[in-house]
Amino acid sequence: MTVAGTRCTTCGADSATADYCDSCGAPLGAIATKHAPAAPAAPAVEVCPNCNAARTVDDTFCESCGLDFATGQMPAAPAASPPPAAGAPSGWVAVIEADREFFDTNQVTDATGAKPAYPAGLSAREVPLTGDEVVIGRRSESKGFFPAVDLSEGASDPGVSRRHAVLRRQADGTWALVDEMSTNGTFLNGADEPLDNGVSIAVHDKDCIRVGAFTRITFSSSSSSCSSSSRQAAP
Amino acid sequence: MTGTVFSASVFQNEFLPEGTTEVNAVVTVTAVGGDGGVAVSDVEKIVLLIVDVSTSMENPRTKINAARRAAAAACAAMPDGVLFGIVAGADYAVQAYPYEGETALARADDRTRAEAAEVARSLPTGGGTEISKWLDLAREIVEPYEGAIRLAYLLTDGENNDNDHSEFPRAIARATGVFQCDARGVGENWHVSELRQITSALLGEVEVISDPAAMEADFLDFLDRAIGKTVADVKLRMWAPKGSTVRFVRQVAPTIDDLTPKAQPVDALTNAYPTGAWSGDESRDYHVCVDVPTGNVGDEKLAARVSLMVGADAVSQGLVRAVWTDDTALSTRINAQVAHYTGQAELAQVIQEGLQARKDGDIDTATIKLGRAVQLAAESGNDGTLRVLRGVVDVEDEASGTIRVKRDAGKLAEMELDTRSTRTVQVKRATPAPEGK
Repeated sequence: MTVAGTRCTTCGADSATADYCDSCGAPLGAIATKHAPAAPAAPAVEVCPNCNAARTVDDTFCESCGLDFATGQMPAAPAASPPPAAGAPSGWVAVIEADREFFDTNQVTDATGAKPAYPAGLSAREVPLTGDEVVIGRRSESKGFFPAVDLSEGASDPGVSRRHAVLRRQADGTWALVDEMSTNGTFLNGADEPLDNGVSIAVHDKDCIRVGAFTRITFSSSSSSCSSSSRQAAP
Repeated sequence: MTGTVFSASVFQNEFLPEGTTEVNAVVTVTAVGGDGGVAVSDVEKIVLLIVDVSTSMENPRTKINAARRAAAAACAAMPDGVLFGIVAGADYAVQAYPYEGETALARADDRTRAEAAEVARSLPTGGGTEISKWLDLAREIVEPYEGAIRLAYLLTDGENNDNDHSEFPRAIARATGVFQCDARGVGENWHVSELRQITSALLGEVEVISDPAAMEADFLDFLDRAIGKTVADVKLRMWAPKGSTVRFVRQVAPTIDDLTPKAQPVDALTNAYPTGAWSGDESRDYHVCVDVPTGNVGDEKLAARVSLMVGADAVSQGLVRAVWTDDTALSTRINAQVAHYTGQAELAQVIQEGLQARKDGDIDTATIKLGRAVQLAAESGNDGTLRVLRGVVDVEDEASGTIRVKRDAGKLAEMELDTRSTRTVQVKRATPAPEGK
């Protein structure tokens, strides 16, 4: 029954079967390497080796960059690339800054349950609002999702949901803010309670939108931000 | 071959602690896609009805009348194209249809169905019971039809005569591999173990028919299943490595049947186990247990290659592996399928032991054994067995197996429990890991 078999390196028999030796049962060829003794379990990794974002050992993919921890592969490039800024400039901008006071008062934690680090020394950046709908959130390369106000850029804010909130231009040219069922809520002008999910609230020049662990977004007709002092003290 | 496709899945924990040798796995074989239920198939099908016409069937007369009616109904329902016949058995055996003395079979059509039903309705009675003669005649009739699916349905009410006790096992041995045989006991004067000898060797099932009126329905039910068979003579072939010992190969669902003693050597490392005919829509589970020479931590070995053979073709295979590890988290994992069927096998065993103890008057042992049976049946959701157990014991608490053996339980309840003891339930499937094709 041994016709042009495979030589078993374990027992030396000629095996008619190519997967396992038909005499001693040892794996042959491809199977032998596939089932090589497993390496000792990797130590618990606390940060993504690619982007250094915090992770838990149970995570399969990096929340931030999409790295597959099991294979070390980055997600395949999505069909969609970051869409070019669509629509005409509205004349409004979102000024993005880190807000120390907001950071100190909230309890937002990252994926590991720890309070994230405050990005000291981060300079403000400005995103012009274009089109009628501006999404505030964090990008996902693997899902091909690129919000206009992308809070994973610069100092990535781990407390911001993927699609966190939306600024929408109304028919009369004014703007309204809607929280999109975010995890940690959206706070307008220093309110202690977050906006109700899905309810539109009108926003005006120099209104402060606070999201995530430390992000303050100023809705502005110019490049100036709302000042921390404008935040009203809780009654 | 018909369009039936077989597939095999292996359920096991392949991880073994260092130094151990015992590998357990449950192999589920599923057949799909045959023309089940329809008598159009390129495989010849033979159905032989073997009816007990001994004098005891006259006592009471309802028994022989019910048997005649049931046989007539089965003949009338015989699907077109099936080859069939009737054997009448007492302390002799005759082919009652097609006509005494002939050893050819009739092909079912309107004329033969009507003729056979007429013969069945007027089967004469008389004589003792020598089942070996019935089996021998049945074998002679079907033997020429090689490659056909050959099934017999044996109906009897009595224990075999003493003078047949030496010939009985020999006749079973002669019939083994020639035809498959289901057996039905009517009334309470027969021995379950006797009929089980036939059905175990001839790959059938034994059942008790407590009410003659239920005979016709059972007969038709058997016919239904018989006609659904689309693939004849399927064998399980198992290879195990050099230096290993096959502890057992056991069918564990739908019924428990130890195949180990039926091993037919193929070569030094391979045995074949007959599984009979398959329908195009059925699933059977096999528990295999092999001792393999132990390996070092990190070693992997194939512990068994289980192939399903139709004729000379392997139609599907499952691989049972062994991987030695020092990680106890891996090696102590219990595979749900293996655990379940280990429990079902124990269930069948404690029922047999409990019934034997009860018969011997050892109520203490019977209480322990049947109590354990109640516990196992309840745990595994084997409601059918639990129901018949309740005919023999009073259950106080299922979970702990607290019971009282009924002292006045009828013989029928006991026989029903005995015949049903090997009936298992399949474990609820979580995530099957298909192997092979």
